[in-house]
Amino acid sequence: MATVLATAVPAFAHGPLAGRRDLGVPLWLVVFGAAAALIISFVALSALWTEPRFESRPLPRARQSWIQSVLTNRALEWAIRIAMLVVFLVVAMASARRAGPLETIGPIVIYAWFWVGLAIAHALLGNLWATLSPFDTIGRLVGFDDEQGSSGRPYPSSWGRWPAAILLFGFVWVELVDPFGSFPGHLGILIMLYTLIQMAGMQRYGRRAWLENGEAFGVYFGLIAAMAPLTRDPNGYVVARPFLAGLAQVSPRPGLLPVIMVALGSTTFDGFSRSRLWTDATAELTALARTAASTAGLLAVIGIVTLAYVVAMRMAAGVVEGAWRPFAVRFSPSLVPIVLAYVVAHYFSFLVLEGQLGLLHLSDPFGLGWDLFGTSDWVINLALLSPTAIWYVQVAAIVIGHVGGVVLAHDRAIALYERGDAVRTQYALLAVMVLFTASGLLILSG
Amino acid sequence: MPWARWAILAASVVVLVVLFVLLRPDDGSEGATPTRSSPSVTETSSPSDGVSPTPSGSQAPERTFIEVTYRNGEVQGPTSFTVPQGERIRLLVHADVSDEVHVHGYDLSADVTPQEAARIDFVANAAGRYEVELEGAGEPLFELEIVP
Repeated sequence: MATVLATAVPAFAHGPLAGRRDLGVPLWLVVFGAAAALIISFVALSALWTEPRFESRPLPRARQSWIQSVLTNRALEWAIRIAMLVVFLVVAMASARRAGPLETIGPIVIYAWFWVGLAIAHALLGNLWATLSPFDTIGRLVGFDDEQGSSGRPYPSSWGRWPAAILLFGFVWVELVDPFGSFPGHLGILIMLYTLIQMAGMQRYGRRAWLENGEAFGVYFGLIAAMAPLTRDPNGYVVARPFLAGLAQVSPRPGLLPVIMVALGSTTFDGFSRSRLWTDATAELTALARTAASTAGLLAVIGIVTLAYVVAMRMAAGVVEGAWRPFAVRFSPSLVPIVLAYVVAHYFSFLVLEGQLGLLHLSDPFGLGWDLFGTSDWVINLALLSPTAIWYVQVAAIVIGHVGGVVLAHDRAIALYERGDAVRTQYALLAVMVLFTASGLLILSG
Repeated sequence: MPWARWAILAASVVVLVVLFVLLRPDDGSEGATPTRSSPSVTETSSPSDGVSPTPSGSQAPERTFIEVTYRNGEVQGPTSFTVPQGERIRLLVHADVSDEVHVHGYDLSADVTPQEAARIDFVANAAGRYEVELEGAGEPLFELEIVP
């Protein structure tokens, strides 16, 4: 059995990791979701949101308590960092051993716990990756300077977050297209490669300067964490703020828009590529041709999403007679709630159902037949979520994400422009968000 | 003024609730117990190569039969089947190659050879869409849609 799996040529990108798909959301719920998104965003904007609430909002003062001293405790921070480094090494080693996708803890922890679970945790709890990131911890242990690298020059500001966007594309390509993307062995090499790129970047441009621009997961989780109701003030104390408010403070820089577009487009492509339309169209292709078609499809969907946004931004910028580029970058953080909504809608059941596999593998991370905690003979409980529960979560995620996006864009518009102009800039943006919401719901119903 | 805002808010909540109640189908079928009314739903996919779809063993209660033939690198007949949740299913896969038939999600497998069909019996207790494939060749056979 083990050898059969190890030599198998996988049919789909996720391989056996995602041999289950959610049932299509019933039409009535799709219609209700679309109606709810429109009604809520219209009411929120016309009646309830007449002055900016997020823009230039000062952080509240930190309240002193014993919780703060725990959260800022250096020894505890380092205990967590080292523990996470060990977890990283275990996952990397489990991903390096040649085996079937379900045989080690590597693939499921990477695609379910890390990519989906941590993203959701960031939206709720703030920037955990700042402490959990093994790349940051390695950089600190090696002793790279914060801003000063071996190149002697500062990080080129014109690059902005482009390195993160490119690496993020690499990750989603491996996740969604690469025929061996869920196979340990292959994955281990990629993890090693990514770690080497991060070390080289930190060595050359300084740890912090590189990580906030070139570490794909740090940039991605950081953007999602900006919507969280918790953050740290400049002294490191944890403070509360309204949900979404932090996205108004995201600094616009080159490459920010590509990061968001890769994230948004890739989830859309994943939904589309699992529809019968796509699987039937590519069923006859050879493995190589299928990989090529999927790569083209992934790029095309990211391109279409970007095009829709840019066209809307050109129209909106025309209203206030400004250049569209800075306009497009300035409004791009308002798409982050939609990014998270898509992740929840597409992968929530994957995290809860297939994610259980990670618990099984805790007892046998490397697939060597161990049973450390007595969980290795557990079975995944696929009945944990009823289809109805999955549908409600999916539609609620899309609707909430849509409303969040509309509210953020509106807040920024009324802060920047006169009332009349602000409303008129929003027509095009509202149209593109309705487009994203409608396509998101349609993909879920397929 | 805040009075008007509350009124708008309340009105929109009412509209949403009414819309939800109106749109939601009221047959109560979703999430409910699977229909056990229809006796012996036998769903057979076309070419039965001599294997009769009658249950082996007389005591076997109603089962849904799904029979698929894979020949010359292709599945003959439909590539998707819909079965109500809770149904007892028997999969019969005939193939002109030797391989392993794998039901994803349920993670069940059985060997198939040109001489002997793969037979997998299980109860469809979890809803969803599951891929059934020839594991060795990585060839998808069909999709099993289990609906509540």
